[in-house]
Amino acid sequence: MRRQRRSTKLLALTLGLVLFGAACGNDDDSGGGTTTTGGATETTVEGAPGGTLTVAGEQEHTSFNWVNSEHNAAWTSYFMQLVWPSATIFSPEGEPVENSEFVSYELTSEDPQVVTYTVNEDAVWSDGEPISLEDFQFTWRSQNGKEKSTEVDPDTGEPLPLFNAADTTGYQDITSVEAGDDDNTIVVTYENKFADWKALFSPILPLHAFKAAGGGDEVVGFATGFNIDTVDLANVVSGAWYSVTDQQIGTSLTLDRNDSYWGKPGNLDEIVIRWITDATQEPAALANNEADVAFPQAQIDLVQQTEGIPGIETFVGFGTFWEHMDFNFANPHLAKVEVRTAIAHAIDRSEVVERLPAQFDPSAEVLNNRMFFPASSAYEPHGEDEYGAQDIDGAKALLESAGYTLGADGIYAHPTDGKLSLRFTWRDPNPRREQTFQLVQSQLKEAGIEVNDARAPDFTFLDTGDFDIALFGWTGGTTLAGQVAIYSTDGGNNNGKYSNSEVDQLLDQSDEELDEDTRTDLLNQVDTILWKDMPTIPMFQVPEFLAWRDTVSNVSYNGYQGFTWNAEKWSVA
Amino acid sequence: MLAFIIRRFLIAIPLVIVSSFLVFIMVASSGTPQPLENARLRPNPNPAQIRVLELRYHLDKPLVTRYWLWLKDAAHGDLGVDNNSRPVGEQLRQGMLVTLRLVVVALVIAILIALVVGVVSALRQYSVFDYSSTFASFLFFSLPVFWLAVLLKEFGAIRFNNLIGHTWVYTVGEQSVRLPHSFWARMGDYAGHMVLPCLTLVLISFAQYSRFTRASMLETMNADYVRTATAKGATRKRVVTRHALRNALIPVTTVVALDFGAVLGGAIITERVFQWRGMGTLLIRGVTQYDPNLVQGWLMVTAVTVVVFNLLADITYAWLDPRIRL
Repeated sequence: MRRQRRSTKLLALTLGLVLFGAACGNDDDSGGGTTTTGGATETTVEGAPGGTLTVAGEQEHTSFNWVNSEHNAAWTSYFMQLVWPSATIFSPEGEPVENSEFVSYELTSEDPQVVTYTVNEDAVWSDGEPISLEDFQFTWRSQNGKEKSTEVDPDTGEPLPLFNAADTTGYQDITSVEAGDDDNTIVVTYENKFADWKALFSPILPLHAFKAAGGGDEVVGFATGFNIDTVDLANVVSGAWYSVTDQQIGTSLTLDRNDSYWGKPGNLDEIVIRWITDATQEPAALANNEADVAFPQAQIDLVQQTEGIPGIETFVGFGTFWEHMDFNFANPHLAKVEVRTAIAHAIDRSEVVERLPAQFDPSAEVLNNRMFFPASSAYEPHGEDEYGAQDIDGAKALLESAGYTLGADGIYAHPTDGKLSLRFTWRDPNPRREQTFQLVQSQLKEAGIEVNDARAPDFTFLDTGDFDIALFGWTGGTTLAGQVAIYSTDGGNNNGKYSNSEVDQLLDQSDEELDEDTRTDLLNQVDTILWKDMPTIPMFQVPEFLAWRDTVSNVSYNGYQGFTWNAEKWSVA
Repeated sequence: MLAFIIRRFLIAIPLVIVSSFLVFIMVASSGTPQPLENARLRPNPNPAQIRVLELRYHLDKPLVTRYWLWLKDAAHGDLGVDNNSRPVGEQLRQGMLVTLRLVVVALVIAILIALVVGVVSALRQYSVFDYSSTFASFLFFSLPVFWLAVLLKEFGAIRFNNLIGHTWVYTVGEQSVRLPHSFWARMGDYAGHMVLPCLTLVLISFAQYSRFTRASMLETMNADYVRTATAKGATRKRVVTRHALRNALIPVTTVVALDFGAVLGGAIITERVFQWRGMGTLLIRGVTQYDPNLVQGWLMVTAVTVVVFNLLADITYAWLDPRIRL
């Protein structure tokens, strides 16, 4: 019995150690596929047509009409851009490229601004209806925000918009969309100049389908006609390479090649989007051949796990979502430019980048321009010289020049404004931002500036101004018109209430400047001033992660248009 | 009995209402619906469009008023729509069907295995089988569900499929995108998707039930009436099956009934890991997207289920044990 008890104990101990070892063990097997990093370039291989490919989709759509504010999700646009045609497609470098198989366009007058579109005479929707003027008109009407409904705001009595469009930028500046010299020519006239005009009419909305989806009323069709629970897929007509042929809510969406497409057809017979809403389950799906392409939110563990899967290629890119710190000018400390620039000197943005986005890809860099990204030819790193490296002495000198004195606790204080102690707010939970805060907190402490954790459960603090330093992100990229709202006096997104009349003037000018080079120069001038005034500190672009089976060709990253930007060229071996 | 049932339901009603109020307040005040947040964060936000969304979500009204609006509709059977205008009732119906499919199969298998293992362990106390089953029970009961699921995916699916050269065991979803036409092929597809999540639930559930069964069986086997039956010359098989087992099942039945009611709220982690769109997935979505209507709907369904199954457990207990009076 004693021998049995001893051997039993030994067995238990051994098994326990095995379990412990399994839990702590680190699989260093890097027998995975190829990892490509750095800049995104496309090398197109002419693949054999045919085949089916499965994409792991992270966020299921709630409506096919993602132009509706209530359903405006990026994932919906990824597949709908293969269904509803766009006038422009943005290249991986952020350049607007005319979708020449569908339409050509030209700025035929600058004052007034007039753009003439010539639609391919063969362009038809998948039900045979031609893509015509009325579709362009509806696209404009539904997104200009001008038409009002009979419903009113109970607080103000103001009529509410008839169409609840996600973004009215640009469309609200158009005064008319009319026929040109022939049936295929459409003339768009602007009452206010709009520099990002190339980004408009992307996508074109099929009026007749919206009417059908709304029981004869396109307003109803826009609001609810394409909701996934009630939609008739026959109304999701296609004017591009693929048509929606099947949806199983919660499971999948199937796109088949659109045989009515007049141009070069899509390579694949079928693209299936398999909804896998938990990104951490996507590597297993790739490894088990249940998905061929995945575009999950980049998490370091997920990236490493996927890179270890044999037969899977991966790419880490830096998209148009970028992190920045904003200062609230209502705070008496932050109202002083010396304090803001001292903070910029004290922060070591290189360390933050190295600890965060560079974990995904060593080519991650500090953002030194608020208007353009490094991949763009317009990018000028205005912040690099003066704020490229941490300068604690410089920061302290600035604070002292503003009347601050170093306290016994190592924190500066102002004779009238008190201790230099600031709230640092971000939307929680967000591990990346929490880590950023921790790094910034210790860096600023070296310069005698105290920042405290003031995380918030949502973004209400931006609306109410209940913050000192806010850490959050913007989605930039395809249109630059959004800069006006962020940096101009009383701009809708000018949360810190920054004001500079020269910046206002330059931004207004840039918004109406139709020459791209001149506009780029104007915006770079704005950025130069912003580095002097320091209302915000740009940090870095957030990494994005793309993975695909090595038997799939032509999958490539595009931070501006989404990873499906060239899906019509994808092929499987 | 009828009075007991009525009394239990009457007690449950105010409990559910208070719970729904607290949950609503927590979820509604914890964050902003995603579409509205996206609209506000757009680089060029349109105030009019934002206002439309605010009115759509009743954000112009106090929390209590919003709760009252929901309660009025819920009292008429209308659970409303979620943040994306999708009917909550229909989503819950679909979710319940998916969860039922998973949970019923898993629990039936778990109970059968647990009964066998528990009874044999009790009858052969301190044997190698007893020690092995005890170890296995504690092991599986202690394992985190997500960790077990990951192991099963790697070894039960990926490596197994590589070995046989064909994808038969799946890691995501409850069915393939394209279901085969023939009945048996379709059943095979469902089975292939069900293997891993079912196995996860079975391993963890059987551990609990087998321990209950063993303990209950041991207690029963030591009872006087069992000793009397043996002394009267009844065979061991007769003593176990006719006398001991039935009584030993009483507490086990109660535990299973209570557990079943709770797990119908969704095997949350299992559904999440294997991407089954059941009740658990709906709850996670409702909470993470600050969707009070969806969470409230889930709460209503789950609360009613728990109340009903608690009641069933009490009734079953009274039926099995005549000494119990309700």
